Amino acid sequence: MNFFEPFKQISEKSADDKKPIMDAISDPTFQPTKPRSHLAEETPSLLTVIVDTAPRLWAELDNERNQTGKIIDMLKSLLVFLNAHLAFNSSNQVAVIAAHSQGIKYLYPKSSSNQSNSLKGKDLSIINNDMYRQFRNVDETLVEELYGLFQQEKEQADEVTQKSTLAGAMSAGLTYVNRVSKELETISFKSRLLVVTCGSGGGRDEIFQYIPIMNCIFSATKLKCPIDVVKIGGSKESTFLQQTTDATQGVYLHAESTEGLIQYLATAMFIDPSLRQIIVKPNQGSVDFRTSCYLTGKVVAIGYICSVCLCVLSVSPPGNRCPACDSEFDERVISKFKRIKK
Amino acid sequence: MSSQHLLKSSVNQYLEELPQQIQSRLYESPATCLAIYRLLPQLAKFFIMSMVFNESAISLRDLDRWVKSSGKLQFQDAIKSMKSLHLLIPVRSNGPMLIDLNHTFRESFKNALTGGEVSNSFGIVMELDNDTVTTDMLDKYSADKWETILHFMVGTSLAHIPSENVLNLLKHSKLMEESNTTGEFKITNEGFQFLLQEVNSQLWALLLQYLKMTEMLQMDPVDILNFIFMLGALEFSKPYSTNGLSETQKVMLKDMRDYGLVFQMNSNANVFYPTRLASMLTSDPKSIRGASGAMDSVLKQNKEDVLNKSGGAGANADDDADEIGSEGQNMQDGALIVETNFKLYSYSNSPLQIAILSLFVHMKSRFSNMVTGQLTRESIRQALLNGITADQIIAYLETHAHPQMRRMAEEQLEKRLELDPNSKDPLQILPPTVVDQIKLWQLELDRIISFEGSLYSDFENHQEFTLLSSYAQDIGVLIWKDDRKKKFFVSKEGNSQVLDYAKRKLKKK
Amino acid sequence: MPPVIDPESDEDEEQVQVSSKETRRHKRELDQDEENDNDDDEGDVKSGSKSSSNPKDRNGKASKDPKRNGRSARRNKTSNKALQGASGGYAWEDEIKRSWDLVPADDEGDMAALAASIVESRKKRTAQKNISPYQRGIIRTLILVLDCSEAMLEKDMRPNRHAMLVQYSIDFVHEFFDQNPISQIGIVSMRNGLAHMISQVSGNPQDHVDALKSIRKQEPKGNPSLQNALEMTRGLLLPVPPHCTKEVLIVFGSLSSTDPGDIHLTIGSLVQEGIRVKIIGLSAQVAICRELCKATNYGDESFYKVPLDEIHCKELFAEAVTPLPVNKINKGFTLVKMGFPTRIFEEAPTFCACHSKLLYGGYFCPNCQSKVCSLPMVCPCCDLMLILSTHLARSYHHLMPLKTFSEVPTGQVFPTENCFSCQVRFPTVKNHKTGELLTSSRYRCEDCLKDFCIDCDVFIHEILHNCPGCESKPTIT
Repeated sequence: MNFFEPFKQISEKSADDKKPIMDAISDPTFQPTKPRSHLAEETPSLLTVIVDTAPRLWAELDNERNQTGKIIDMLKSLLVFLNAHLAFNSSNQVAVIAAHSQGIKYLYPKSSSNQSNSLKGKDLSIINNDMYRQFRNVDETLVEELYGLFQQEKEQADEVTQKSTLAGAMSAGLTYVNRVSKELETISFKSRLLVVTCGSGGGRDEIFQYIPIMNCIFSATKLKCPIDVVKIGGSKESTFLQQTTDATQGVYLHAESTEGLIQYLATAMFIDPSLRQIIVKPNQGSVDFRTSCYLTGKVVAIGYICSVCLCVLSVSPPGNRCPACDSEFDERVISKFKRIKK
Repeated sequence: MSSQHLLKSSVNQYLEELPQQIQSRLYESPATCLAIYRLLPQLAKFFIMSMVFNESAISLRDLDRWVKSSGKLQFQDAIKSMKSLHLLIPVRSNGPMLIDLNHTFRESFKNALTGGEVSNSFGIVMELDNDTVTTDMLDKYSADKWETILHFMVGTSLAHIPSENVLNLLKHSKLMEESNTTGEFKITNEGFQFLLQEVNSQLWALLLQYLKMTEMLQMDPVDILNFIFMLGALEFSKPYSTNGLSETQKVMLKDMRDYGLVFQMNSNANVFYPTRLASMLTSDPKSIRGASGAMDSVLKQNKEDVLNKSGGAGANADDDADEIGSEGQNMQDGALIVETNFKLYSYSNSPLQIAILSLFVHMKSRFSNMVTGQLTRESIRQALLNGITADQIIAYLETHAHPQMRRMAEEQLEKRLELDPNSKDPLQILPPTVVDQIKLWQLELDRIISFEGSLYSDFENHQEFTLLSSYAQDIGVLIWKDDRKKKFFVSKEGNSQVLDYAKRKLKKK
Repeated sequence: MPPVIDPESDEDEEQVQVSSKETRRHKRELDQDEENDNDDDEGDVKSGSKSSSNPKDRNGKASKDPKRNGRSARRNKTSNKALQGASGGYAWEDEIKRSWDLVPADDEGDMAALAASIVESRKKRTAQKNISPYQRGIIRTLILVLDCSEAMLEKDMRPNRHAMLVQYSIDFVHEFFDQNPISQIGIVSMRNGLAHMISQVSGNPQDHVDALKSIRKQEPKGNPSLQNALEMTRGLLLPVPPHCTKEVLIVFGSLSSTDPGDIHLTIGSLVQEGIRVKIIGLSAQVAICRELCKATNYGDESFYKVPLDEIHCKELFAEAVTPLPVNKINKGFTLVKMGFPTRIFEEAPTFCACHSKLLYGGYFCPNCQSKVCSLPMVCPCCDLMLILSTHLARSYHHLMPLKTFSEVPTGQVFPTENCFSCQVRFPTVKNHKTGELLTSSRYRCEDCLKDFCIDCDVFIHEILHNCPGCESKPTIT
């Protein structure tokens, strides 16, 4: 009779039998197991804040609401918001540019040229000495620079301001974004721009900002940098800035006042670029894409465009010439135009 | 990055496992809150930020509405991690389910953000007049301490070995074991794996072990964790006072000194300086890689500022020169290039980096700023036998790949996607040939597979043998057979069946 | 805000400037010129093989011939001059110049500073652009003609010409619509002696990209027929209104064209209709192509180029992205009716008029209230051109280019150490030994007198088209 004895046997696969190995390659376990979900990856980001500090606008807002020091409230909220951004990821960065009445100024990072008139020892009481250093360094510089800025504003109170410098600040902000993303090419780095403006006045000077702002929009889309806008007070709408956020996948928000501003900032404005894909953007309103007639200034939905300079007309131009570029139109075109108008 | 993920999950896991009372005591410290906040998933950070300044409870559905349907997985993940840390507290109400942020956490975190009542949780900076400690000195100190530990593990012969405490910890964490006979320390498989990790993963791995060790010594984990998180939040190279520290923390300070996290002039000085290692605790490895460059530039900026102040425009003639030179070197130390011919170049000068590489690379030559080597079957096998897995080697090579390799891989991926938008190919930073070969070398070691089972032999005739062996084959338990020797082998599970069959069939005769 | 433009800006002068700029690249083309001139007759016979039935034409051609010969002889002389190297001899007689000979290292072998200045000057070159404002045809219709003949299987571009150029074409389509959002493109291929329509004339980049992707897998085959392709593009451009520019961009890889009739007649009709042809030739210069470009561009020969390498090829495509100056002869000033729709959001999805897809929200045509899903688009109901005002704005920078910044000369005291715009510290690029500055690295806007770094200069002129300094002045200039 046969017998069986249980024992461990070692079966050896011959070395030249490559088949199982080749099978193993096609085996799914051999395939890279790391799912490359880009969402889970945490990338540091740069937040560039453009803040409109033109005193005239803020004074108007104060008058409107019979309160004072709105700008201070706003800046306080902004400081906390910057800290929040720095808290989000330890390698996050911030930059702040002020668009004041006479130009633009980097509040953070500090440019080394104005180091000489440093305002050390000034009133920095709103900053706690025991604060987290990373926050404190930013906050301290910011307050210091702001102090200098307001001093300057006091001196130049009678200088004329014909237009807002916001577009210039936005342009500078974009160059800064461009610089940082070039410097940190090796790590995937994301950026966004936040514009804080105060909207009384009803956009009288906006017209001079149109082309520069549009140029900023295109550059921002090229840089894949969303632009968020917070508008405090004034009218709810801001045509150009709304178009900005729409074209760059940003968020537009209108706040009645500075009360509770931090809550707005900490939610709607806190969407990190890495979260943009999965978070529902809060603005879902209609956006006005209409434009204005060059001659009458009225908002038009259907207009006539000069094929040379692209200016928009709603009425027959005087002298059959384009009012902007002086190109002469055919008699035929004009008559057709007039016929339709009637 | 997976290693980063690993780190986060291991720290988070430890925190989640803590009892709730300890957690809420932890939340009293703003610095700890900030550090914990940074460890959370992205989406959780967003939710917490939206709730910090909003005192009222909100419903879970409101949170859900923020997230698009494509992000539901992350949403669940975020909610789960917040709940297990008890950051989200359900509020009983008669309406829909409401949730609120942990009150202690909210208060501390708000304080951290606004710079309110932080009660020294971010350390106390001292203004010292005659501060002799320089950043260079600190860097040298921390690198010395930390690399001594790593060198010790790799087995380089050293002038002085790490302190008793460190050895204890290494032994305790099973990264090294003490040989019974000679009393010498020998690195374990875990130790080898440890060496291939990023610095901050290593730090945390050690610190978590430290926590476990101190638990046995009846030390308060809250004190210890607070101190660790605080260390991460301190500003590099600033003098801090030991005054605000508890007794436990003062004891800890000594241990931290041994790891190179802090520096003290002498053991009972009341001032300590956090080193760069400390600031790495709460930053992620990805940024460290970029940040070391950034850090350099910051340092340079500072230097220039000083120069500008002192000597005006003329003074910066010298450092402008090295500014240009450094531009080219603005990359991590040890960036490596792997070629399809298995040659490896590493831009590194540090003996440690070279020692680690030599764990799995056959090093060939060394130049002033780089080393070259070759990945060979022997070198990889050596590593595999040491317990390092192929995946770890590949991960190490990937994370340390030269930025140029990464960029090239990204370009290639883009091109491939352009040709075939449905291609699911991942980013291939390393040459695929090398990756596959390393995996094949690992499989080679697995050539031998053992099965448990029974051998049937000594059959009386060939008929009996075929009867049983073909039955075993039919029911799929046959593993091996030899017709000539009349032997076959069945697996353990199938044995009883074959046995029954044999009894039935052969009894009949 | 519509820009103000000087209508009298002289574009002829412009052209002269452009052609004089072409130096090195021209050399090779001229080189080929010569070659082509020699076998001109041969080429003519080939392309006009079937035209012999028309004796009148033949005669006319013959009578023209002496003039042509005279001209080409004259050109031969000039081209010889162009071929002469710096030392007075021919280029091939020169000593071989290796690329590294250009870099004179100083004694300590320190090249870092020098390399930095070279990098800068390279960036500078890319920043050079035309800035004088003149009228350009902003509303364009362009037909892209791709050669899909056997010649495209040539492997002088990797993996082969076909794959490479399809890829470039895709990039070109993207770039074109980015810069000319209210223009339209159509794509035609030359394959097997026939002209095939790849995609209809439309303003939607995605359609074209999809169409191009579909021909990527198609194997190039047979001979190309320029005449067939030109006749087809002529047909496609026939319904285009006069205010649009009519352009053709041909990528031609073959050395011959197989035509059913007389191509010169086709060229004549193209000239009549004011269609302008630009050709990127991949092999040697071909006589008929040059003739075609010259005839359709009012005697300007710079519209036919042969790329030297892949980078140059990309540059040639990029040139075609910028709208052409409006020629005096091609006056089509008119007013175009356009609609500016409003975007709306809806609670429930509705069908869009363009693709019949269920969608939440979209744009409402102000004329007929039908919903479309993307812009720019011609309203499918009332044929009104619908655009966003932002689309108009995207073309403004062609009309009002930003002034170039001038480099601040070295050897003066600089007012700032940081770039006005991005705050980066200006690098000090010095010769290590003598200590003199190689370049100031500062670029100054003449209007606001602010200094910018080279990276910002490039970014501002290529992408932003705004001067941050001028924009942040509080006064209107």
